[in-house]
Amino acid sequence: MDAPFFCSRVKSFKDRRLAHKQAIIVGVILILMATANGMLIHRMNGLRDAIDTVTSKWLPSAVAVGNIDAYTSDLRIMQLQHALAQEDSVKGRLELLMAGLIEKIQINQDDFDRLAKTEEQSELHAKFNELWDEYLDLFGQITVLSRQNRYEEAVALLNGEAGKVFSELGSVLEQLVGVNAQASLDAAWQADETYQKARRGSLLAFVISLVVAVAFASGMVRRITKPVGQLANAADNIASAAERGDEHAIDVQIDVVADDEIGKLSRSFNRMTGALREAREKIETQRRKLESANVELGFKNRALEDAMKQLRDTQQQLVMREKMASLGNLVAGVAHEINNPVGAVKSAADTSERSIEMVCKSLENSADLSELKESKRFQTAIQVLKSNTAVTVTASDRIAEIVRSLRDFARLDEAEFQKADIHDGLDSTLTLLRHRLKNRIEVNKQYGDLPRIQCYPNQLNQVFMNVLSNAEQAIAGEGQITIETAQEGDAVVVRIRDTGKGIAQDDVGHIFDPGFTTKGVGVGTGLGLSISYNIIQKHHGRITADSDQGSGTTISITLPIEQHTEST
Amino acid sequence: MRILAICILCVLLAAPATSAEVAVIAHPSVPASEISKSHLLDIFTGDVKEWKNGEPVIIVDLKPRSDVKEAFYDYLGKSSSRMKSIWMRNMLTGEGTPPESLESQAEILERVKNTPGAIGYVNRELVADGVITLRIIQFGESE
Repeated sequence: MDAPFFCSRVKSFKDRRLAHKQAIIVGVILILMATANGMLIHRMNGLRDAIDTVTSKWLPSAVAVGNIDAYTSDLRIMQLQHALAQEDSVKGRLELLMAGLIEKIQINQDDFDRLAKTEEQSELHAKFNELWDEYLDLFGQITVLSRQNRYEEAVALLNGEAGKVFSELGSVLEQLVGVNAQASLDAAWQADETYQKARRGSLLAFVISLVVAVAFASGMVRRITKPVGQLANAADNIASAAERGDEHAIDVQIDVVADDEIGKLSRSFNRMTGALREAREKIETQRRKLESANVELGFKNRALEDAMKQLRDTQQQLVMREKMASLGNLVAGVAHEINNPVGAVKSAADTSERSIEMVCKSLENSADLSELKESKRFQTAIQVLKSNTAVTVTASDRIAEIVRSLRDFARLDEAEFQKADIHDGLDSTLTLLRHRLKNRIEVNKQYGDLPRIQCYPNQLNQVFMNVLSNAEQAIAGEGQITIETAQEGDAVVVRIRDTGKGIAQDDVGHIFDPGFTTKGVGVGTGLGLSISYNIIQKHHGRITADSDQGSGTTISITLPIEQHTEST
Repeated sequence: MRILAICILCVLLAAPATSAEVAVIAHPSVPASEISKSHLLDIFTGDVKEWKNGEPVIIVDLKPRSDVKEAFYDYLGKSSSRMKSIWMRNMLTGEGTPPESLESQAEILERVKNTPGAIGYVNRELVADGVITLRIIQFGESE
């Protein structure tokens, strides 16, 4: 029952932090290596023990046994020599030698006793000691006999009983040697086996460590490098897809395999692409809204365009009408002006006709020249003719003047700026308006010293006509119009002041607006000043109005002397 | 419980039947009442050839193998064959004569009783009048 609880408390391996994982795996590898090493050392100890055994147990004992074998054989030979020796000195020497041999045998026996022995060896050694004991007794007897020169008995004993014991000794030694050899062989075999096991074990440990290390490395690669690579690729794809305009790259999802840092990274990435997808949808919705709004705008635009077109047409019509109106005014003015002198010429011509009839009658009725000269009718007729001719001349001059003004006013050859004297324009305009100004309005001309300026004279004349006309109309009854001109720097200024009724403060700012008029519906088009404004703009000049309601209005026009073609 | 008591009793009764002690005996003329291990060893190896009073030491040895012989030489720390080697050497170099080896403990008893300056070893049980006991050695004793 408790198992699931426990499992949930202990984090599974794959969900640990990367550092933990690495630490765990390295720990495992180290433990493996330590274990392998431990086993190896253990085996080595076994090997060492085997070698120790050989060197400490079998080798010395083999040596000892070999020595005993050799010495006992020598002893026996010496015993024979001793028995056969005739001289005491020889016997003595041999005895010393034999003593030495017995000592050596004793030493080797002691050595052998000290060494660790198997049961078999111990048994054989005990047997040897017994036999040696017996032999020593016999040795004593033989030596005594030999000393007494009873050599036959000595030799008989040596070959007989002593010989028997001796050969038994020999066989025991042989057995000991065999046992030793076998034991050595066993030990060597064991040592070799141990070595082989150690070698195999070490190799196995190495292979296991290698496998684990490789598995670890590849596991790390898979766990870290591959997901990171995946993430990098996915991010790259999204970036390059964004450049291409492809939207589907952000539909990618990274698999979350475990709960470690890589897992966290993968999850974050997925959240990011999720957020991007949401944003994309929002953008899509907005885009659709914009599209429909756009379509609506299109409709509205077209409607506006139509309205604009209509307005322009209307404007053109109005302009046309204004032109027509002013033209009409102009024509009316000219007709009025010309009327008088033409009438004068007409009546003079009529009267002259009658007078010439009178002269002709006088000529018919007079007999001679002196009678003609005294005829009253004749003198009167001639007088009338004289005065009529004068009138006609004056009137004709007048007509010519008016026509010239008109021609000046309507100058047709204007495609470019031309140098003109604006005083001429002002004067021509005044001439054309004289009939309206006559007797009622006093015109004050204060002309300055002006150079000729670059302009469209025809259009400027239109402006002067408009302004002067307005000034005249503003004055009810008697008044004054003053025209001032002056040069100010690189421009000329024309100020036209009237003593009319003026313009209300609220309206002053609007007088140049198209369609603005104070004259009432149907009387004026309201376009005059706006057209004048446009013309002055075309000249890169300025036109302004100053007014005091009740005392009068001043229109100021500034025009540059030179027109710079770059700035047009 | 009762079986255990009977067993112990038997062991105790049996013990004296095979005495586990060696007696080092000597002729009454020997000027000593007891002997140390090292002295005993010196005598048997031939390093000491005379008693305190100048009398020569006569060693009597047992020839056949027996528990007594083994216990005695175990105590001395040298095997009997080792001892024999020493005696042979001494004989060959002229430093002394090897002791006589007798066939039985009874003979040893007899010889020691009759030889001034003699020293030997027998099972303690066999000690009789006419000899002095210089030391008692337990079977298995080595000090």
